[in-house]
Amino acid sequence: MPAASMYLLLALLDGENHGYALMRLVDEQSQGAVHMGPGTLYGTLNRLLADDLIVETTDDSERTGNERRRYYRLTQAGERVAHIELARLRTLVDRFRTIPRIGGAPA
Amino acid sequence: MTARRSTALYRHLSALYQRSFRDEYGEDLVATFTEQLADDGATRVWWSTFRDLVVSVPFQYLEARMNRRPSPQTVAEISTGVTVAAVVLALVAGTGPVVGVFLLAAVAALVVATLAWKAARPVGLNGANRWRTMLVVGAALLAAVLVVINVPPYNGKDLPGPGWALMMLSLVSSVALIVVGLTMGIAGRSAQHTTAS
Repeated sequence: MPAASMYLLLALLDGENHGYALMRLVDEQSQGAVHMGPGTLYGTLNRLLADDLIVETTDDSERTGNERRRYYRLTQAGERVAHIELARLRTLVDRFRTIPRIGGAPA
Repeated sequence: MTARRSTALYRHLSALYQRSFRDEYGEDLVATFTEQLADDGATRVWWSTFRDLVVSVPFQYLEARMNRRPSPQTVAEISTGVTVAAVVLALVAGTGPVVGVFLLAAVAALVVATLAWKAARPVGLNGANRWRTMLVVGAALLAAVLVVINVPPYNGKDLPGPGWALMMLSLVSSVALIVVGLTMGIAGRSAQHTTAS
């Protein structure tokens, strides 16, 4: 899974949010490693929507004037995938923690 | 450059995106850019926006082009249609080698339909034990067919009325279930193996 998709799913574990706030969250949670522009942000959200991992929660009537924001939240499938990704990352970190050459302690 | 001019320039640049993407997200792109400008200042935002445009504009065109392929659902529908047609033709054609060709086509189409259906599902959501159920049901159906044609009163005799057609249908279904079950099982295991490694 691309880093942008993974970070967006993980950011949405906190609850629904809009595009710009998600962009900020990803920037913060990745400590600046994943800095998305608007094109990457909405391109990634579009793919996550197509894969049914997230849904848009703003209806058309709310999208007018200054309050025009699209909100997104995880679907059940998205939540499962986010947890699978977290578990995969934990396993990866645990595995490398046992290698002394890269700063880990032997098992 | 003032914020207003920056926004106007970005609006023009966002016209470079692929049409359907622009139609759907054009206003959101500009609104997000404007919010970034207010928070981070023009220099920082333009630097990151330039990189974003260079990467995401061609990517959107590439993605739109790739999505022109038939969707997994279409492939599954066509394959299922081929399966049904092959089974009907096998039943109509009666005996002979042509039946085997039709039945083989039906099994191949079912495998393609299964793989297309699996490809359409999000990663990590494979039906964990569905393939086992298909395998067991397929084996049970095959066993039932073998019992019917080998045990009295129908062993070695012609089946009455639509019995032959029913047996052929059951035979094809059992083979299809076994093949599809095995395909799903192997695909599921290799996906698990890939994720684990």
